[in-house]
Amino acid sequence: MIKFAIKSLRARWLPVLLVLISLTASMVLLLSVDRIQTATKNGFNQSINGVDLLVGPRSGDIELLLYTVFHIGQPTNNITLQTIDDLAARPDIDWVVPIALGDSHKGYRVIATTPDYFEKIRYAVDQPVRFQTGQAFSELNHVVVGHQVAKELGYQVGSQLYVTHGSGRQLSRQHDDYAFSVSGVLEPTGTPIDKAVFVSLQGYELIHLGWQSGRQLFGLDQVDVSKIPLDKLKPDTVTAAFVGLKSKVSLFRVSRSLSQYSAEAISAVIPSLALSELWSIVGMVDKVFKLLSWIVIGIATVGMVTMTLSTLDARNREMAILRACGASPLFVSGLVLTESLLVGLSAILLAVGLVFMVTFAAQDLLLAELGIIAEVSWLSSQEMITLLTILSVGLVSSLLPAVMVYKRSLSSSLLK
Amino acid sequence: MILNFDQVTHHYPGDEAPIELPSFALSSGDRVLVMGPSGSGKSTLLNLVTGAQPLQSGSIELLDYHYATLSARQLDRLRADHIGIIFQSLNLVPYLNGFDNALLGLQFSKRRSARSPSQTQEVLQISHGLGLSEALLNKPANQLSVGQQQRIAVIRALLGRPELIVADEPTSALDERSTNQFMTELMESFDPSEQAVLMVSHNPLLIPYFDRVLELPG
Ligand SMILES: Nc1ncnc2c1ncn2[C@@H]1O[C@H](COP(=O)(O)OP(=O)(O)OP(=O)(O)O)[C@@H](O)[C@H]1O
Ligand SMILES: [Mg+2]
Repeated sequence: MIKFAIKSLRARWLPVLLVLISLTASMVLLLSVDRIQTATKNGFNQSINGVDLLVGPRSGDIELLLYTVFHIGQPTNNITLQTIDDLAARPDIDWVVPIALGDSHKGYRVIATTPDYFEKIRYAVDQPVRFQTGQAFSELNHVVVGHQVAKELGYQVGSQLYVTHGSGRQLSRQHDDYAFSVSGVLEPTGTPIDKAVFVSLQGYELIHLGWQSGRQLFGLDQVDVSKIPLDKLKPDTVTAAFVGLKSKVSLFRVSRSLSQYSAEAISAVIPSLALSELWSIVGMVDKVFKLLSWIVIGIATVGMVTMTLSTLDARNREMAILRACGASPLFVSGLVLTESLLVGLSAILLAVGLVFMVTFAAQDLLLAELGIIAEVSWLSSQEMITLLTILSVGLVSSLLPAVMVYKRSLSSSLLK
Repeated sequence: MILNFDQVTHHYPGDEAPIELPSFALSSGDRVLVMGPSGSGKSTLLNLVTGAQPLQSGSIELLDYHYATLSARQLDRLRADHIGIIFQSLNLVPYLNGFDNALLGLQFSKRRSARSPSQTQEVLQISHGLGLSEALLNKPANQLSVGQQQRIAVIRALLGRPELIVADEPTSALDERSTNQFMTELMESFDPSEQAVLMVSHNPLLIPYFDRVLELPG
């Protein structure tokens, strides 16, 4: 039967080829959307690691996650340094890394923090943030830049840069009275860290010395910076803090007790929970894409069935000959079904092969350009299920012409 | 005895009256030509004999099989094992070559393929008798002339020596010379010791090739 089917398909190679192409293309689309979705989701979930709690002024979980991890948006309130010190003093808390947001540099967010940031914050699965060149800041005027910032703006260790007050979108003033010098460039991480500029909390405080409620009262060029005692350069407030616990077991207890902290209204958020909450919103877009590619597969399947149906009349004769030689109606309808299955299976194999080749080829490119590690993974069980679903959709829709052939060959007379 | 066709009538749904068909019997070596005006029921008779139309009344017996007692599937198998069919035209599956088309005769019957152990040899032997070269057998079906196609249909019908050869107007697409040639070759190729031929035709030229003529009333 398979031999028959192959010969019959080969005799109609052009329409068969076109149907094969449209089926393959639609499956490649679905598989790619699937893979991109998985990759974004992984990348998304791997944006932060090694942090047990995000602490910030009382706000929504997602909001806190957005500005601490993704550097998107800005809280309306701050938390005091006193709160940070209180946190650090708790016996169940291992470390606290405060951050202060607000400034930017040529569109990239400036994050003021402590050198601990580069020690404690991880991404992906326990990947530390490494320096490609240079090191963390040790002087007031030191700045560390993320991989993409360095790449786009051509910075290397020793480059000079100015920080802009505010997000840089509206009319904002440059802190052009104080130049920073790049002390280190980070390795690519595939996370928002790549697009960030890091300064020390003291440096951040320094450039804001002459400022009050968004207006500059005096410039740093009017004072002798070296005369300012370092321990006086401590901001009163910070935006948020990353917190590591001594024991993960106490996670929920600590998070609850921090939310009841009395001196100030603060929130403590578990990053992984907030991430999955955020993904349930962001992931909608991918769901829509997936739905669309299923529709495309549906259209391609209809195309295949249409081709099969349109050839049936022309094949009446062939069916009669086979019947005359003793073939059962089951055989002739099975022949039609086998042909559809062969086309469907070849399309699946082609699509899988293509997706592998593309992932393989794009691997180096993604790593070099975006710092994303796209693994050439074997078909996931999820993808297997997808392909099986497609195959059964194809099988069920091929049953229509097969049943038609069956009925017709039952009732048709052989001789006229 | 090969075939016994007794008091069969056939009523197509929608028709006023049933078609009444004559009774007849075929033994080995018999060559019977069925003639009659168009619409008299010649093809209906052949469809009943081959089991393609279900038997409504009367009795048909092929070898020891009573059609009334057989299922559609059993009739398919009976046809595969014991009947070789030659159509009027368009006898070949277009995507198979001449050789594969000829072998279709054995494809669906264990009995016939068992009776034809050296298939290639047999195809070549019959095709030689029919004046077909080996090169022609390797051509795709749609590149063969009508006469060549009909000859391949004959090979297919004869392979594995089925007891009954059935043909519906096999020469209607051939000219007079080819018709005579075709009939001579066909009658020389079949084995009178165990086979019988039942053919339908309008053409009086064919009458000399047969022992009996069965005339259907109009
Ligand atoms: N499948 C069918 N369904 C309904 N009626 C049919 C069918 N086949 C044949 N008939 C009718 O049965 C009658 C006999 O038809 P049949 O085909 O047996 O004639 P025939 O003798 O072979 O004619 P011709 O020489 O033109 O081939 C005709 O009136 C025809 O209309
Ligand atoms: Mg007829």
